[in-house]
Amino acid sequence: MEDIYNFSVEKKGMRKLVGNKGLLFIIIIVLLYSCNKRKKDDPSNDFDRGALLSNIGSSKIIPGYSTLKTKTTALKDAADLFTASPDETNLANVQDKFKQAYLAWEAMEVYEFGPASDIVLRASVNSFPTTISTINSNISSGSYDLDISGNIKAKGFPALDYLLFGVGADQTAIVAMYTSDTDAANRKLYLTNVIANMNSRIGIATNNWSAYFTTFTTNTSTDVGSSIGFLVNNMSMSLETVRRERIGTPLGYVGLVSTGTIAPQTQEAYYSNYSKELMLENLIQSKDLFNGGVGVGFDDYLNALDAKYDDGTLLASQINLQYNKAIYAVEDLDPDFTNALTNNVSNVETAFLEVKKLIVLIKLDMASQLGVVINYTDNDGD
Amino acid sequence: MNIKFAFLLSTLLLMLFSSCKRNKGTDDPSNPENPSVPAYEVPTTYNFSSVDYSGQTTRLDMLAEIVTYMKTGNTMNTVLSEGKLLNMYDNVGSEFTASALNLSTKKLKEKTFITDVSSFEDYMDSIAVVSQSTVAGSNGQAGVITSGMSSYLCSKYGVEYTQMIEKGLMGAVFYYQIVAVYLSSDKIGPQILKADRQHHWDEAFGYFGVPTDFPTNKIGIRFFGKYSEERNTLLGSNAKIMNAFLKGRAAINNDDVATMNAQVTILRDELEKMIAGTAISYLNKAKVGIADDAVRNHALSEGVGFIKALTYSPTKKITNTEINNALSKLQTNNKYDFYSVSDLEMEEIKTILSNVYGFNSIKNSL
Repeated sequence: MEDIYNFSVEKKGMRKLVGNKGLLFIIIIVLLYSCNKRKKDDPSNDFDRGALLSNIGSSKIIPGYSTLKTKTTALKDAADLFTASPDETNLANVQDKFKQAYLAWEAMEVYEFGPASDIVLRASVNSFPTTISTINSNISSGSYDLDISGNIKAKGFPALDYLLFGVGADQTAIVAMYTSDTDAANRKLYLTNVIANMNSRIGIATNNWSAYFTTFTTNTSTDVGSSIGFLVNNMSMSLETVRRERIGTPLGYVGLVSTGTIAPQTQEAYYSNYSKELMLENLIQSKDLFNGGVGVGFDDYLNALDAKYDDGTLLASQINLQYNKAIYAVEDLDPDFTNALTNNVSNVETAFLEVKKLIVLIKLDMASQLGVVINYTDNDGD
Repeated sequence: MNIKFAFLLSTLLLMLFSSCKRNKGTDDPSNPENPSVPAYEVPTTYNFSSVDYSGQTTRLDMLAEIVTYMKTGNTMNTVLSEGKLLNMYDNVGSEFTASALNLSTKKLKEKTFITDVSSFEDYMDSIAVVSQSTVAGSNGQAGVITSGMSSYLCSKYGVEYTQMIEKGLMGAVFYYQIVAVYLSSDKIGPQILKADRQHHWDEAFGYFGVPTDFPTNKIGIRFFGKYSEERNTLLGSNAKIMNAFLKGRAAINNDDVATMNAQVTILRDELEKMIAGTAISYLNKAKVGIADDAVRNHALSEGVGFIKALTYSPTKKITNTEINNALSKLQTNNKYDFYSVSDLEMEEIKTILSNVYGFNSIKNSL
């Protein structure tokens, strides 16, 4: 703890320094642009942020939404098949399509700005843990508005996780809830409505991104509200949700303090047991965003600025190293996250710590090197 | 003929003189539209002779204590007393911790916009009832809701009365008293003694909640002072509001009515924009935190107070219909219900406010 404290104090000084450097950088860029001449031999003053945004937009975000739309449409088709003839084969099919769609979502959760934040996509699609009492009372009453705040934890993937995996002890029992149970008809309708609500919002975000693409790629500053600002803030925030919601809360952490009491039911996909795979995908996709896939990414941006870590090595290399450590730590977890929490808690602690270290590198080191202000807050505090 | 000529000449000279003065630059402290007033200096801090707004400071202190008391209810199983709250509101029964407040003749209640007094008393009754809950709050259940490090006492509809009362009284007392009472001609009009006009202006300033050397010094800013600072980046509220207070007081000192009136307009407009911007900022917080009952309920409870506050200005840019329309989007069956609000409805309120105040380009950044 003390270590980290000192570390962050040191960073603060550094941030100030870099802030000035960032300003100088912007001024130089403006000057260069106005002269319409660019110095090719000085990459630090010459990094093309537009190219980075264009690459991330066209190779990650647009195709990512397209994949998500395809996978959620396949989920809808499978659910339609299942509700038309609820049996174990059709259940297994919709469960599989659910997993594919959920994995596709993990790649997109980090892009909660512009068209996504306009319609609160992340909260609408992935607020966990789901509130099963609300789901069940909605099903029994048959009267609900899935768009209101009180139902936000009764829809999206977490609700589907419960509806497709949690309503019965095994496949036979789950199918029975859609065939012989008193509320079977209402439950089928609820499943259909939850998927429709989710797909409608994903559809809106996907469609609006084509118009937003130009806004995204041309807003090349690093100010609050710039595309770079959005990406860095969301990378950091998304990693924080991996640390806090996906690992910390189930592990019994409140903030950075361990209570020593695990809470497995708070994990991302408690009923399907996909939590480990989902968080792994989340981290892998985060790393891929950092590197811009095979194109221009934040690694190139940092290297162009010759950004160094404390020990003199390149910051981008340090970040990639830490991404790998976090990814390996999650890979090491028992595939059944509840088992991991119950029987191998030290592995989960390791994953928690490695992700925490990664957050420091993104939120403090990278953000300060790029002159990006971290301006998201989780709570008002007053 | 001679006299006429002399008069004309002197008028011409005066015009020349004043036009020269006008060209002197922005440092000229006199009102360019009122050149008959000799040049005078506007100080950079609120230090004038015989300044007194101790009554306002007392009321700010009273609300601060009421809020502190209500927030004890954010710890589960802390029952709040309706009687104590009503007494504090009316300053009877020596309920304040600070004895100076108990000894004071000031009462928040008597300065509250009259038709809203009963709703605040109802809220105090409600918070006392809600505080008796012995279980955590949730949709349909009153009680304390916790998120991360923050806990808020909410009704079964998610209404956090602490915020409804605090932000509500900021509007119905502080803002109302500034823009509708002290900046009105009843208090600063030409028929009022100069010493009284000065004092009334000071009283308006006293409700702003900032130190005399604001915004250079931001230590101790509270209530609207705090929100001015929060909006400052996008709206530039700090300097606009503070300068208007300074310039207006200097204008009264120098019998410069035109300049004083211009400052009244600036103060009313800028305070109103700051309040509308703050309402939008809370809607943004509620939207981002829509899945977090504590964050959303808290932000919407604050937001309601700020939207409602817009009612109190005599020169408001928004209509009562628009205010009611905005507030009704947070209601179900005429009752605030923050579990039944959609993100779309929050966006619609933002649109109503942004259209009135010209915030469309910044509404997502506020």
